[in-house]
Amino acid sequence: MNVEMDIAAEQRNEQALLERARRFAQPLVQTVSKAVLDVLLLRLGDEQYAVGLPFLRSVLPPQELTSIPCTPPYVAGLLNLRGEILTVLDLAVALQLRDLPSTSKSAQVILVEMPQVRVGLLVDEVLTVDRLCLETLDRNFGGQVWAAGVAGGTTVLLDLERLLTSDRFAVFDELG
Amino acid sequence: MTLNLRNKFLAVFGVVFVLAVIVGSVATSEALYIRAQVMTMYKDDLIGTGSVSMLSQDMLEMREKVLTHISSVEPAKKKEIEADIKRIDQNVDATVLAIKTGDSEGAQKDQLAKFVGAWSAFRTSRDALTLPASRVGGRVEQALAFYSIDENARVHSVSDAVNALIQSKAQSASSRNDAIERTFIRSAGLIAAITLVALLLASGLVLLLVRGITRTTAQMVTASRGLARGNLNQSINVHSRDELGAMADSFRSMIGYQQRMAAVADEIARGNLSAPVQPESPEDVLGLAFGRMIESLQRVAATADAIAGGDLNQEVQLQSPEDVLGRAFQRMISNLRTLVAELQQGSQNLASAGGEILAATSQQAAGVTEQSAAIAQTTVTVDELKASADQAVELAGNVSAIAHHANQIADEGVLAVRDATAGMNDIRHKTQSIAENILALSEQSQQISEIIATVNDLANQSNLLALNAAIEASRAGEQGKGFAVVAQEIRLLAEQSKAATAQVRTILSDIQRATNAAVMATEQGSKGVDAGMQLIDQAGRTIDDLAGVIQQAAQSAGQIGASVQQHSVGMEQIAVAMGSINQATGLNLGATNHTRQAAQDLTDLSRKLNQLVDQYQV
Repeated sequence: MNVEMDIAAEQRNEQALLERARRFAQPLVQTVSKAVLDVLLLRLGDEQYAVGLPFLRSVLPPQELTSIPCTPPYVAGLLNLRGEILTVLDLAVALQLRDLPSTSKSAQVILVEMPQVRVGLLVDEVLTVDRLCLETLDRNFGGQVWAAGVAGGTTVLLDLERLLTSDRFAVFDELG
Repeated sequence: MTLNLRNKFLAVFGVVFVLAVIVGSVATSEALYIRAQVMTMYKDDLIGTGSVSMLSQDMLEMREKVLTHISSVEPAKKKEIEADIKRIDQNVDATVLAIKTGDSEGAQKDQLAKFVGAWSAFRTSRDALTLPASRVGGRVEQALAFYSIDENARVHSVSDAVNALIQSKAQSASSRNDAIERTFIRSAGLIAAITLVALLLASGLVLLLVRGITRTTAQMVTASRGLARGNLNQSINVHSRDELGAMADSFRSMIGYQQRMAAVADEIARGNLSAPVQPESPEDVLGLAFGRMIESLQRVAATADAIAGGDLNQEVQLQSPEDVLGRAFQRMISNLRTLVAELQQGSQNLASAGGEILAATSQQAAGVTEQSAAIAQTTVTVDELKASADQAVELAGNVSAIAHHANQIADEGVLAVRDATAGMNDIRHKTQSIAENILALSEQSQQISEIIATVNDLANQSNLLALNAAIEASRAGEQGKGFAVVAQEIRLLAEQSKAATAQVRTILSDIQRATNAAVMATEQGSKGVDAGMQLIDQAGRTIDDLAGVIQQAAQSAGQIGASVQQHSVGMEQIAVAMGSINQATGLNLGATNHTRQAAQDLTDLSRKLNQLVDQYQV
């Protein structure tokens, strides 16, 4: 609630208060759903990223991946999830943060589920669950297309939908 | 001519030779006769038979030609056949001549005459009737009539004559063969009979001759074997006039000679050197040797006789370099000369020695007196030695007692060492049990760390579950809000558990470090105990060695005491011996006086010996 208001424009302020009152009169669920987003905080390298919980299906316990030869470096391997074969991508490589796959001991796979795609993402560490206020998101930080914005100056919110459907992942097109 | 062996052999050979000549001549004459008979048979009978068969053939051909002549119509042909008929005529004439010459004995004369008669009748008829009729053409029937009436019968008579000839030839050959066989059987029997007689005669003569020779030589062999064994009582009973008789005579005279020589040798052996020896001939080696032997023995006997008389100046001449007896005599004489000379020298030496012994016995008497005084002094010294030996025995007893005391102390030392060892062992056992307890503690803390790992794992899984619960809650939307809070709480609990396990792990590692240090410390303690035990062992061994040395010292002291005791006894024995010596010295003096008397007697004896030896001339 840091919106700076022109002291001179008190009328507009009043109007705003009225607007707020009207908004508060709306059902609580809608208001909250628009204003905040539950996210999973991740670590990729030394940086902290966030992924919207609605895109996620679950966090998988650490396990061995079956590597596939003759694939792009961002394909970390395959995973058998209760009988379902799942492709796992190294997120850090996919985002071109580095060239080599993750070697972190705390590396874990998160299962992403969207109408277009169902894929596992290998991250360096799963930190915790948090709630981001979408309005305070800095959307103009001039970053990549897959970055929805920066929260609190340190956490980059990832636009998974845009990332995973981009042309760079031709493999996904085929998978999708 | 005497019947010596050569003549006997010649006579036997002559008889055998004459018989062999008879057999040979009979066999040769018979063989010659048989050969002549065989030749005749071959010439007359075999060849004659061949000629007669040729005649038969010619007859047949002639018949054929005549018939051909009658049957042929061409005059040329008839001419040709007539030439053939002429040729056959000539053949028959030649054959008849051959048979006539071959029939040397005239056995076939009649048959041949018969044939020639028949043949000439046939020829006359043919040339006069048949051939002229046939030559004129158209008179074939007449010619045939001639032929069939006259000539046919004549041809048959000619054939019969030929057959009679052949039969006569066969008869002649058969009779000749019989004669040959008879001759052969006769001559074979004659030769066999003469040969048998010759063999019997020759073998009887040879048997007689060989028996005479064998009997004589067997006697000779027996006699010469006896002679070879030295038995001279041999006799030979052979008295024949041939060489064997001469050999027996010389054998008998040889035996007589050997018997005479044996008698002479016997006399010499009995010592009779005057036995007469007459050599049988100038070449009688044995007789001459016996004579020389008796001569030589007589010379030796004379020399021995002179030596017996005391004359040692005899010279003995050696008969030869191998003369053993002469050499022995020479040595005997030279030895006797040396012996007599030495005897003379010895008896002189004996006289002077007797004098010297007299002087020595006087000196000895004085020496015995001095010896008596020395023995008295020795007795005193022995008594003093005995006293000092007694003192040494007492000292040795003291040393033994002290050694016994030292031994007891060493035993106590050994006991103390044993106790120390037992204590050290106890300490080692306890240290080991401490080490084992600490190790058990270490293992238990290890188990705790495993449990902590499990708890940590559980906390991680709880964390994951909490995250997934939060995701599920978010997907559930508004309905999941309360659940999201619960999930958050569970996550916080999991974080706290992880922090707690980290703390416990730190503490556990401290405990493990401490237990490791304790284990090291007990190990060092154990090593220290081992070193202590080694030291105690060494001390125990040293005390044992010391006790051994003291024991040896005590034993040595005991041995010294015993040996000194023996010394003391020995001294007493010496004192007794000295008394005995003193007594013996007294006796010695008496003996010396006796010796002086004996020396006097010896001097007298040597003088008498000198007189005896002087009798020999050297």
